[in-house]
Amino acid sequence: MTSALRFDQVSLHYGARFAVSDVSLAIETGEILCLLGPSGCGKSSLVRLALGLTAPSAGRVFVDGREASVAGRIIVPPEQRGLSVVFQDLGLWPHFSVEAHLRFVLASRRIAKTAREPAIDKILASVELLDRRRCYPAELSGGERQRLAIARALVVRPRVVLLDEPLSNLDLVLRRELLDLFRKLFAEMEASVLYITHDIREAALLGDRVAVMEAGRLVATGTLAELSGLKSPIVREILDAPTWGTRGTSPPANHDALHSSERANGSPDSDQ
Amino acid sequence: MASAVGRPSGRSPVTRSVTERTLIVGSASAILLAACVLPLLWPLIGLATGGRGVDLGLIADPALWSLLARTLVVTAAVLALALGIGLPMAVLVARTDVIGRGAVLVLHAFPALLPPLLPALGWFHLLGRQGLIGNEASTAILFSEAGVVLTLGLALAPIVTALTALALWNIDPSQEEAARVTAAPGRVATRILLPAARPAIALAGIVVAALALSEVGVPTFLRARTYAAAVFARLGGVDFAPAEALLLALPVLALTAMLLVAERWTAGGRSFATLGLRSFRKAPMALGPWRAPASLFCWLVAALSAAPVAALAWRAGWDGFAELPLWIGNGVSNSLLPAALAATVIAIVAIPVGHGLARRDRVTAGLDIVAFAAFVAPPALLGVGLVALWNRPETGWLYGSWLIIALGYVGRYAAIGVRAFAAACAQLPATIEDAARVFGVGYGSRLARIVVPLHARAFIGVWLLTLLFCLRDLETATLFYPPGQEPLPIRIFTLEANGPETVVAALACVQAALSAIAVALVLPLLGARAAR
Amino acid sequence: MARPRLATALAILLTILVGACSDGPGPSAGEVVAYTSVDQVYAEPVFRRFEEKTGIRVRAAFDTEETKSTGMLNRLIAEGNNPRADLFWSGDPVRPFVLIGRGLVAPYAPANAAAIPATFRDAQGRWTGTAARARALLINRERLRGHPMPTSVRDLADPQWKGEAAIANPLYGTTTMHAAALFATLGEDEASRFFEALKANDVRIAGSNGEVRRLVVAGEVTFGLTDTDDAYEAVKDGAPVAIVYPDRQGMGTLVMPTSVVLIRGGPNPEAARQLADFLVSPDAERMMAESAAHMPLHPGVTVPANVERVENIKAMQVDYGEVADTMNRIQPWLRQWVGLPAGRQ
Repeated sequence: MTSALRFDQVSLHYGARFAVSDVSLAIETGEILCLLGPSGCGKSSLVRLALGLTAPSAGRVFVDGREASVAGRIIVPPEQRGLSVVFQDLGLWPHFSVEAHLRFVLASRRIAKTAREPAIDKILASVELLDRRRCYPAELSGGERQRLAIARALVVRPRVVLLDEPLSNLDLVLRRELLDLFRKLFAEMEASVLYITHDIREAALLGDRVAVMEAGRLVATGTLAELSGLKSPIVREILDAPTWGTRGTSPPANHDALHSSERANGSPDSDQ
Repeated sequence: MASAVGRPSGRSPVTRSVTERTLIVGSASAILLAACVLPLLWPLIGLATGGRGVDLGLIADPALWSLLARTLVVTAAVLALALGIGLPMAVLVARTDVIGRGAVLVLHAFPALLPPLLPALGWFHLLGRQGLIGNEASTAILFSEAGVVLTLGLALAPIVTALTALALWNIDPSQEEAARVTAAPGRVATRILLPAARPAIALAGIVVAALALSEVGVPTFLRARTYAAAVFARLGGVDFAPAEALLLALPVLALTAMLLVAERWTAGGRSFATLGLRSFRKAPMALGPWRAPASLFCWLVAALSAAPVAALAWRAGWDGFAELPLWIGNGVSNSLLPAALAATVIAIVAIPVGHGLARRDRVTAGLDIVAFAAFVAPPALLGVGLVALWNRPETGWLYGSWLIIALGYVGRYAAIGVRAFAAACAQLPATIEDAARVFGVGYGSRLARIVVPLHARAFIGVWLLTLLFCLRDLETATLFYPPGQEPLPIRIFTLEANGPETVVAALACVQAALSAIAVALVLPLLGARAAR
Repeated sequence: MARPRLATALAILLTILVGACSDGPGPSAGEVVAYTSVDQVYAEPVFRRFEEKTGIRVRAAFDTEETKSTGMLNRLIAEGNNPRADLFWSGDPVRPFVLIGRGLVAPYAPANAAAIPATFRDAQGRWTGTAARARALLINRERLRGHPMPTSVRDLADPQWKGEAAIANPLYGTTTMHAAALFATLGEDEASRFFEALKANDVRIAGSNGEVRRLVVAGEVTFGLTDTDDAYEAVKDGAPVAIVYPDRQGMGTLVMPTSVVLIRGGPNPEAARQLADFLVSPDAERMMAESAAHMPLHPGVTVPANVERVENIKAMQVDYGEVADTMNRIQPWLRQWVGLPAGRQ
């Protein structure tokens, strides 16, 4: 079986500084892979490499088994990779309404005209934005914007979705809400998902498999259970952070617990 | 879900987006090639095909280098004066509660709408021995390098003011508000606002330096020797040697390249912020006890800026304006048509080129350098090249009509438009476009559906800015305007030779009014909200 | 809100452009393209008169004061491979030789040329002189304060006038020609000594002859060397000035006929000949005498009281072709004199 998305010994450096160093990683069809790591470890660079927004310095990127990027060259441009993305800052279009966003991507992906409106209704119902369809991004709340970005990513029924720390700017309640929504939608869509986060709790809730990055290198991959046996300091640091969710650990008792965990994680969200 | 949406109905060929991009950027490149690159390089081509030889010993002449040094000192002084006036003006007018800041800005901006020779003429009517307030001492100062610095510094300062003020208007209000909680207005201005506007200031600085460096009219009029005049002399009829003029222009071009590098370095990897999308109407900072002195400073600068224009109006008197119909000819439409066309072409070319520049694309960065070279090179050099390139039987339709003036304007001022649009593009997070790419939107559609709508105001701003530069142009079109279709500034200066002084002064006022009307008509469009 | 406004703006723009295109390059039947370094304020009425008489439209391009005589000449040379002009009406008799030297001229003897003195026209018809200016001293009588009137160009170098005299930049315009005439008449050595003496005498170098006039009228200097048309302009404005035709005793006053040249391969040769005929006519000379104080070269043309007749002054005896050659030769020297890099020696 071909992987939905595969990095083959991929490196990316700016001058002497390595953003990504010799990473080999595959996301199998239908799998949800959570990529964990502290801020600045190269997670977002990996997303840009996957999307074809940046060419790797070395190595190759495959999308659907097809060679999409090689060292120094992008073979398949981003608009032809058939991927979907939710950026950390969302990248919504300020001059488009909610439904215009969806129409625009459906038209760009050349979805048959007759199929567009039903698809829009369906995805808006899923993300509970039906009554906000004529609003512009500036008129939406933070959570609504996030849901619009998710709707935009999923309305085209992608084979692979990349989410780059999509929840990092939101409060606890919204995060929980959206994580539940993600779980529901991913299960429904049968898409392959690369989910980037620095928060073990999100990974615990979503991920089939977890990969851990540190300083541009991939240090571990496996299920959470497999990883818990490892002694690597960075893996320990990430795993030992307080978690909540379904896979073996209990949710924090109150907000204070979350706040303290946020501090322990270090706050900057930017990966660049 | 699966039932509602089918898979994509067909994939576009891999090459489609690439071809589209090649086509669009290629067209823009072709326009710049025709208007900037080939005309500038023509002397070299002429040389290769058996033109007059070049005496390389020319650049070994120490007199040349001392003249260049002198010119650089004058240019640096002009730049220092323009920044010294423009920066405080920008902060005060854009972000504080000085009294009557709108009126101050209008008065201050006026001389920038004229070819600098007209304010110089205005100063002469004021400070010359027979001027309104002139005496021996004022004349001596005016007719010296100090006079050149004062005239050009005041005439070009509004460029600094305008670009910096625009940047200040577009700075994220939270940056300023966070600072105002802890610091006094003066500190907020010098430590937060101006550093945030650094890219805009760098751009303004390089534009002012380039204009001062290539100015021929004012130094000639005020009897200061400059390098640009030496290059111009090399194109004087009996001594027609374009290749040598190009050789002489090389140090200027090299200098510009250094300025560009310095500018990139100053701006660093930061986003530009000059012509913006949004118009935050933040409450201005209250200056408290400093309000009165700051207002006085602003009004003093405004008065100094408007003084030469007022002097021209005074010199024109009733007689000058009464005789206008006899002399104005088609000057106004001859000015407006090519300027409007050139501004439109530049604004359109600026979309792909400025966008690429903001996204650090190498091809467009190269085009930017070429356009900048055409902007700072002595205008006569560009003019001679345009004549040689376009005066052919098969291009007579272009060369024989006002279209050649428009082409010349495009060549000279494309750099301004490209830079301004790049500045606007750089203000938007790249992810807004990246998202569109990932969802399958091709290059052309991204420009048409994302970049242009989001930068509609910047587009109009670029159009207006380049229109103003074209309207005030004197040197570029002199060599090739079609007979009988001279733009107004050229008409003013051909009439200035022995023409009635009052009429010349009145025509200068018309010139100022023309630009002012253009600003008044287009500015409301800039105020309108282009994007939500 | 924004869209309708944008649309309006674009509509206006479109209207302008469409309107412009309708005025595009028309057919060249019944028109003539003239480049001239004669001041626009004087030349335009003459062209208008020609249009009234013949119905032929004159499309003209003029020189600016600051680029005097070199702008149009540059343009004629630059356009040499594909001439756009039919006729060049030069403000002086020397620039045409640059065009002659480059083979850009078509010989033609205008209908009235025979009445012009032979000194002021080419036997082969390559150029023909008409309404003339002279180089004159313009003197501010108030600033003179009892000193004797200067009478010679040599007074510019007289120490008693140190810092009190002005000339225009000798790299441009008629001043270049005057310099060349002096070099041709006085010889290289004496002429260069004279120019060095000017420098030692702090003679002010103005941007143009009009600027010399302004300096004298404004009383910034006592006197200056300028063209008669500039000088008469000052008289007409009522300034306290006097005009002196210099060197009546010695080498004579430099007379500079405006001169008419036909461009080889111009688009409208027949109309060009008609315009040349008109420019070298008593009619045009009278207009130039009245408006610009140019001396008519045809005998018997009536002149205003303040305009000298060419027969009443002592004209410097020069071969304008030789002056043109000299002008070429002394350019590097003049550039050095002005303080610019000399270039080819």
